[in-house]
Amino acid sequence: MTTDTIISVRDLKKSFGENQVLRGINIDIKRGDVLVIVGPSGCGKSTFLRTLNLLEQPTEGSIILDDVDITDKKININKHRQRMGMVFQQFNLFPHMTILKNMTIAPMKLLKLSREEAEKRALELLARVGLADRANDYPSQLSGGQKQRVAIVRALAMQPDIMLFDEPTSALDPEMVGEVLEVMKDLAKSGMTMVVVTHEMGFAREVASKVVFIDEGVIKEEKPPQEFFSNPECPRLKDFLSKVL
Amino acid sequence: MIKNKKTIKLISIIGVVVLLVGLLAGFVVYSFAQNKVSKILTTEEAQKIVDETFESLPGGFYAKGAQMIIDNTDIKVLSVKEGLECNLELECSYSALDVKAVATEHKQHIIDSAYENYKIEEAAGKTKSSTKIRQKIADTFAAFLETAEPISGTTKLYLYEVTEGNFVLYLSDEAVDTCTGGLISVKNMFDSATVANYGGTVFDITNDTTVTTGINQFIELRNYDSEKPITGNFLVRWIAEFKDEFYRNFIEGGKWKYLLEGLGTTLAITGVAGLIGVLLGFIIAIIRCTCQTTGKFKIADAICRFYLTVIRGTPVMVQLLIIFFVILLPMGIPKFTAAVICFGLNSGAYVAEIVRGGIMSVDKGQNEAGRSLGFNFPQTMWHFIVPQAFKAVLPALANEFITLLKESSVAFYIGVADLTQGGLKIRSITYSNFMPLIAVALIYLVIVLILTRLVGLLERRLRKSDH
Repeated sequence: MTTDTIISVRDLKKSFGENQVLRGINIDIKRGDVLVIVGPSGCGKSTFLRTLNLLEQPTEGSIILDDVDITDKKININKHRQRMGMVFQQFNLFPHMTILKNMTIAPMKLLKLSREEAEKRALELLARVGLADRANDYPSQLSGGQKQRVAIVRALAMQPDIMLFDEPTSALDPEMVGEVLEVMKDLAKSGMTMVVVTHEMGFAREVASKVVFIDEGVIKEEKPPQEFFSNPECPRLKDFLSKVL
Repeated sequence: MIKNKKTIKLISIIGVVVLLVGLLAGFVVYSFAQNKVSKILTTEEAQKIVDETFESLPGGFYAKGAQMIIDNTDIKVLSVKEGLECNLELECSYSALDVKAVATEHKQHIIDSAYENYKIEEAAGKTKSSTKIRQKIADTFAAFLETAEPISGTTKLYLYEVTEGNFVLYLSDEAVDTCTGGLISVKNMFDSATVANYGGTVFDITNDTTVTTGINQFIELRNYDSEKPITGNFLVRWIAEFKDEFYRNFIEGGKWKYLLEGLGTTLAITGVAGLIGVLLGFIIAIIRCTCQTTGKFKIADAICRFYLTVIRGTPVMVQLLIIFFVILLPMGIPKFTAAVICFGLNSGAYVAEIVRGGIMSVDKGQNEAGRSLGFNFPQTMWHFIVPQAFKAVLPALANEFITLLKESSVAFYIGVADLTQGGLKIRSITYSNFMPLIAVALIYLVIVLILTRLVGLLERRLRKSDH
């Protein structure tokens, strides 16, 4: 294991009752990597992403985050989750709080930032995604694309080392997909380590440092994007790409 | 929105009209059900009824007891217990003596006998400061005298028309059986004595009065001769009757104070019990939800489920009786506190299920968003889930509070002087049903309407975040 490996996943398995969703996943994610995960629906790609920050408890295997096995029950998972921002398909903004409050509550309560500091950080981030003027609105007043941009910067406000994206554009109207992908591209350029589950093959081709194809609960193919799209080996991937491209 | 407002206005107007018409109809029916005086008696006829009544009364058998009723304004202390409210009960005859005056006169004797009584009851021989007990009894007694209503004036003989055309002689307007004793005494006085002491007045029967004139002295011809019956058309009679009833039930002797004080008690019980209920309900709901999602607090969850089953599976009145008489009374806890505790516990169970439903209804993603930011489970609950759940369940909570307000009326079973009890008290004094009961109902209704409106305002404020 090299020092620039930030997450190392070993033999990860997850079952829901009888149904085994993940059947042994092994992967190393390096600092600055943009890992894009694709696969047919029900293949376990979302489950894999959610096990990375233990929103789903894995049945077997280990996830090593900077030399700490976070699947160990004895460690304080809340501390480690602070290092992994997550963006959901359904945005999951807090509807009873303003945008500003959505973004400042975690830094204030968990990182113990002062209100001024937290708000300054939040407004800077909002400005980065062009929403500084919406700080005092409630989530219900925003469009889907705006909500998702807020959700991204809400996660960034905790200054995480890794960002996890769970189909961030799937619940958006087509014309709003672009603005969210733009923000994600900028984020990738800034050197953030990202794990993205998506159906946006264009994004994968353009931004990913590595594309992973998961099927039947295992990684079937793992390649840089050019090779992944131009020279797929496994027949399932060929079939999949022929349908989505 | 505007259409909506109009509909609400229309419904409220219809509601008020229906209510008023209902009240009017109720009173009309009530008025007809009353036995109106249908016949004006002449003095001779009245005298005949009096004579016949006296002739039909039994002789000496009741005489002794009856005499006691008349002459003996006796005040007895029935029981005294240390640690509880001193239970002083004044037992006295209903006769024409001023109870308050007699009580004041014999104050020291009553206190002494109360203390004797206490000593007998506490015969086990616990050593307690006798001065302390004495003082306590004296205090209670003083408080009693404060509130005791003087009964004074003369006891009257009344002729009542109990059913149409059927007149009966009553002593005063007390219950019939005690009155019979009183009547016997009156009869005895005129039959066997030359001097009668009646109502504090000495009558020389031989010289001054014959039986007939003596009786005439006591007869006050109510409903005829002395008082003209109300004439005029139905509406005039009805209004006069209404005014008279209203005066008798609320104004005379400041009886409206029973309702006002009762209302205060009802609101206090509802307020404090509601607060306990909401706190308890939220705690239980959070414990149960935590157990359901994380599997922690299994034992606490089992206790909560047991509590919910028991409280929701038994009538609130039974709970009240058990909590007060079985648990709290032996601990010396007063009945108001007992009522508050009981209704708080009761309401807590219902609030818990409402809030649990609310928490379950909050999108699962909210929990995941909170957890993914690094909040632990309790923090996520507190900052994100509970505020949203609260907003979602507010109307249901308000309904629960309104139910509590109405249910608190069963508190009168343990003798709490709430609004219902206030109405019943007036009813027991005036023997009217319509006025006090309808007044109580109206007051509850008005309070409920006000509460509903307040909740509406609060809801609108909370809705600010999701337009």
